[in-house]
Amino acid sequence: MTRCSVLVLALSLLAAGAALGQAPIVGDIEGKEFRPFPIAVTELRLAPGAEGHKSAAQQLVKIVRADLDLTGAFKVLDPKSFIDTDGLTQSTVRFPDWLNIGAAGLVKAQLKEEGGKLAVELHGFEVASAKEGLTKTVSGAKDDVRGLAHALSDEIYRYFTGEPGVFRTRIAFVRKVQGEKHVFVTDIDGQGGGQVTKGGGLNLLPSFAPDGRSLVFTSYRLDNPDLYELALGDGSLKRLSSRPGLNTGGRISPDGSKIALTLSQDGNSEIYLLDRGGGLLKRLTSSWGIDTSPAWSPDGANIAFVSSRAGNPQLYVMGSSGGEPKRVTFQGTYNQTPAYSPRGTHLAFTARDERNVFDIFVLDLRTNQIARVTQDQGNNEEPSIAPNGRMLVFSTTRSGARQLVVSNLDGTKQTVITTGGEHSSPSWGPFVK
Amino acid sequence: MNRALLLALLCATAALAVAGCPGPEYPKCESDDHCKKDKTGRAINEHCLFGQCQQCAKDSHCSAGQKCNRGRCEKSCTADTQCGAGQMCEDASCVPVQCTDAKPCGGGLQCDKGRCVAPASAGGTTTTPTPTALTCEKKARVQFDFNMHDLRPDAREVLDNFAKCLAQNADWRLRIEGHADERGTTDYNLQLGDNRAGSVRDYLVRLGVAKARVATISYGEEKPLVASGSEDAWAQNRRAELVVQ
Repeated sequence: MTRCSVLVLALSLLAAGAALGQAPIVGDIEGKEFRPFPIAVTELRLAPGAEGHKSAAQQLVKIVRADLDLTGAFKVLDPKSFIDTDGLTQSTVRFPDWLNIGAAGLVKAQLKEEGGKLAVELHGFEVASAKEGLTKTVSGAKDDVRGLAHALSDEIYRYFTGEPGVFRTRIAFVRKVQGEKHVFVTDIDGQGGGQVTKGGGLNLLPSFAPDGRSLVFTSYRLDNPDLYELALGDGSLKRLSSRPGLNTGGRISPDGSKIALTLSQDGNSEIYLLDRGGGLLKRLTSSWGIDTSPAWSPDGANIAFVSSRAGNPQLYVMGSSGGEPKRVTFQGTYNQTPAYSPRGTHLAFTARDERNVFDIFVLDLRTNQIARVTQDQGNNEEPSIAPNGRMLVFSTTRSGARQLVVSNLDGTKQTVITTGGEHSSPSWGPFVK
Repeated sequence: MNRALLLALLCATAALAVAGCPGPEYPKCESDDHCKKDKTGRAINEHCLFGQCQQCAKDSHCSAGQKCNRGRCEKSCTADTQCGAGQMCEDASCVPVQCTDAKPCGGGLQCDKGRCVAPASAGGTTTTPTPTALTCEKKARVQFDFNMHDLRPDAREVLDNFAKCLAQNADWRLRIEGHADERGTTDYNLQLGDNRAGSVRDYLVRLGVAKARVATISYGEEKPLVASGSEDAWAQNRRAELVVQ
């Protein structure tokens, strides 16, 4: 089947969905013709009794606008381009005025104080059809304005795209701190959170557990690169694997029962399975070359990894209980760090291109088509895909010191989310339960 | 379900199928067909290489005397003399020189015809063995080529000498640290450093050093010797350090 007929098939499925009332308001984000959806987000109004929360209201709307902008699915209109003098509800909004300034979507909200909490009454509109399809009150603690803002962004994103937003998920990464490397956790806009490892010199390659409550990572705290698990709740640390040589790239299986990692105890890097407590279950690879960077498919049936068995690093996929691996990349001579999309259809990875620059690519496992995400913006490495499959995070040298970028899948919207220092090895965490 | 709406949508889909599929937006591409017009609709003649419209995808896309190098047509060559000033012939293309007398290589490397190379004598290592007398230091360093862990001749020379020192000093216990340059990913570079330390250990063991006297550890790209993103810094950072404990 050609790509064209696949596209037509996808459109047919979309059409059937549309008839059932499921078509996203923003259009098909995966479509070739997709353009960011122009949306106006007005300042929050203050309900009687909430006049004291002006700065919280300003902060909320600023974070929501930045969140929506980060996705690349929206074009958030400059607040200077409109005046917000009409009402809050469908019958009082002057839709032709919003149509005139180019808004296809409109979000208005009012901040109240309820039971000692901040409560936001949210209204979402489709401007052209003068429809109010989102009316909801979301509340949060007064000392967690950022959390409340991200919850609002999730509601808005779900209304306009029909898909879950990832604004309350978190990203773990490594940051250089006074000659040491430490694991940090942050919100997806690079704000909030902080350092979660203490001591240990080098703490590398963090990866979230499927429940988001802990991280596995490699630390040199006992003078060997050993695998540890850190509980994010109480900060307790457990050493899972301290076999001679490397214990690196640990990834917990989607069902939480096993860990795939690289060990070099047998004299060469191979991929092994451990039980959740660190006991050895099975060696999965056996080649003269390097085998490393295991990544579980979302259904747990397969593991993608990097192997240099063909002379240079390429991506392979094998069954998660072993078996003959299948090579999946044939272009380039330096392909590394595969990361599965949440539906298991794509692998994002790092490749050195024809100009000897490292960039992010996405491989469609169904068609073997490779799409480029980055070009001519420094070296870009170590992608990790968001749990809704719409964004990825990777490291970049485009502005000098290594920073993290959040990008949409085709690379048309890229935002550097960190500043200062050296940042690397991002891992996008799961949806918050 | 609204049957009229469903019918309308199916008709629209069929119409699109007949009209053909919109391609990806320039400069992204799936085939050369997507590289015939730029964003403004201006006619161009580019070629699809690795998902991106480029000047060329193969040599035949370039004019005579040029070859396609990483998507761009460059003057082809067989010798440096065919390239202009400040250029050298690499991989049959004229490319800028790595170094000049005014811009030396540093890091113990010498500039030879525009290229940074290890000195012919001993390869820029810290312990330069002399053929006449055995000098034993408690540390040594050997270097590696990009993405390689096999030992270069200059490294073997250093290790031959070190093995003799280990034989003379039975109380020495050795730790070998493997390192990589900053290019490539953290994880892969840890494996590369591990392989490099392992190559040094295996060579010493073949020379008669007891395996129990040697420990290895990889630091990947985490502990560069020289912190700068240049060819000669990378060359120095791709190394194994031998340290007597």
